[in-house]
Amino acid sequence: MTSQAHGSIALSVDDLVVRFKRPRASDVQAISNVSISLPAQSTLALIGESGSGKSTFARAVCGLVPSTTGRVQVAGVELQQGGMTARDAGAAGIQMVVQDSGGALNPRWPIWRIISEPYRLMQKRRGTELRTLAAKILDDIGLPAEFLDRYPHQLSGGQRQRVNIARALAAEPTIIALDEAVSALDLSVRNEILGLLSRLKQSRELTYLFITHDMGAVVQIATHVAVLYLGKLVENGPVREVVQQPKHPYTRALVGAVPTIGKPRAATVVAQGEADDAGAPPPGCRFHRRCPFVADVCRTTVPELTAYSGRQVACHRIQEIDDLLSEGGRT
Amino acid sequence: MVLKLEGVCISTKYAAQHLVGPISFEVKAGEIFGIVGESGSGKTLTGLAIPRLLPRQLSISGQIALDGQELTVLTEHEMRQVRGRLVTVIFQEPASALNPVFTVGEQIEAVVRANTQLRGQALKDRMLELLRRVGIPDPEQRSRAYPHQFSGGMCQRVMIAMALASGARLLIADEPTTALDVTIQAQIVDLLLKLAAEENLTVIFVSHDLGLIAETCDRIAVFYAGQVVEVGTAADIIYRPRHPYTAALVGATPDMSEVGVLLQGIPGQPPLAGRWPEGCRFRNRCPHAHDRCVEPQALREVDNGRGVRCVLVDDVGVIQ
Repeated sequence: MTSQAHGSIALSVDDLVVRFKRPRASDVQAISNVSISLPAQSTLALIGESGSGKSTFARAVCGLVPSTTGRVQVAGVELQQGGMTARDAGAAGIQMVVQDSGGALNPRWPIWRIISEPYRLMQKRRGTELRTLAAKILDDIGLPAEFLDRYPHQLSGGQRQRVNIARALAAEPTIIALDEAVSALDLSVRNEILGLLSRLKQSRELTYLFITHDMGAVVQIATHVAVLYLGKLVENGPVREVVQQPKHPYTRALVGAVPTIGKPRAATVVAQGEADDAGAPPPGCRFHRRCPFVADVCRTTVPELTAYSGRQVACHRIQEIDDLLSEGGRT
Repeated sequence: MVLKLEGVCISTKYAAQHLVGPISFEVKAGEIFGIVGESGSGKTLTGLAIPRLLPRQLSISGQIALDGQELTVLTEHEMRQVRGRLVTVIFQEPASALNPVFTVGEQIEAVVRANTQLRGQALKDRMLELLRRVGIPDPEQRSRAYPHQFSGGMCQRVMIAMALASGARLLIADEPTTALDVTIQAQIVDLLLKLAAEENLTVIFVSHDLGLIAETCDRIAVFYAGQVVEVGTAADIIYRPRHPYTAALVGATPDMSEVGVLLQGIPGQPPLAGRWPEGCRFRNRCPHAHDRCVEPQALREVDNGRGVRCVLVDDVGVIQ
């Protein structure tokens, strides 16, 4: 896979729908007509709460759940639809790192074998060369060579996550989907892994799809942010716009609810109640039952994602709400 | 209601050193007191030691005085009177803290029955009132539901209702919102703070999230490697940290005002529990470490009622 110039599109997802069947219940539309594109060497943070579909989106892009409809393109090349497998995604240059760093590693294999497995599978490399290749990557991700012969249980959570990243790199990807990859780690370790990801992105010209609920990580490494709510994209744009000046009422509530040091929680919008069941989302705007600005149209008509103030927003009343809240004087 | 811990140590026979301690701090009446630290720092064990809910393999030494009453000398039977009546706990996993085979109404009623004389209709009315106070819509109907029919946020509301039902004056909340989404976390924290103010409860809030602790608490104890390394007012801890670990933790905590700035981690790893290094336990990771750090450090009182466990505090002053 050749490296792409800045400005081109690394990953483009068009009108993706993922539907799960449930016994004795209606289907769950986990992802509902989501279109996102990632510019090369960007970091798109896909944020949202439990049940928003953010992990399902990552898994669909990686070929781990079949998409019901929609298109996935990597560097302009369309991947096989519907029946796309993880192997197809891997061959196209997509890799994934998940939250459970221990569960993702074979407990019976030494680190060198884990890391070199993509070389064996994808490039048919064999023999002593595998260990040399693993050593090289291990060095890249900041672990000493003595780790080659250790086993996953001998490593700390942060070290295991470095090994997961190393294995992903061995497949020589252009895109890495990181599904809550730093969420289980303590703060001090988390920042070190974010620093590592940032360095690797530069040196290897990577593009990240960064799935998280952790806004602290988003502000550190994301260049773009997409907000999912019950499988629908509600806001999408550059991090400065979406996180620092959120416009959609849900994004405002989400960002406003994050506790921070240094300033009191600036809750300009408070989401009421709890999210509806993803299996039976409400008609119209899926956020309307929790939205303090709900109007009749929100209950009946699904809002389209439209360009607004430097990003895309799906809200019928975005202009009115924006005017109202800026008059109200945000602190 | 004053809680005073004096030289509290938690140990196991499998480790020569204490897992936690010695820990000393004081929580004043009506205060929201935060305990913050990373995994393995001893914050949860300390929280559990106060109502003596530690697993049997662990032993406590030192003094824990609640309103002048020494808890460590009480028999298990006497302790049962203290739990519920004086001190109660809310855990991280509300769904597993609730009994799956009883309705939430029955479970709240059981707590009310154990702690008051209310019976019959009066008992039921009290239970419904509690559900209403913790913001559960349609309490009459929801009280007949089982825990698995409730979301995590709703289960945590039920736990808070049970804490209120007990009439306890000291509430220990151990990571009560960690398993919840952030918009629900905000609701639960606001509810806890509102009820604490209305009932004049004393709250010990245990969390790994310094942002959440900073927003919620009056005073904060920072735990590292089984010790309190710094204790003081929330403002002092956040804006004027004096222990190098506190400073590193504050520096590692994102504040949402900046984007694209990578924060510092803390190099190295915390020591393993019960295998603490000699002297200052943070010295292997400390940017200011020098020769004197190999000596054990006491928690020394500095300004404004603040305690700091660092030999450098006088030399370095405010560490930024």
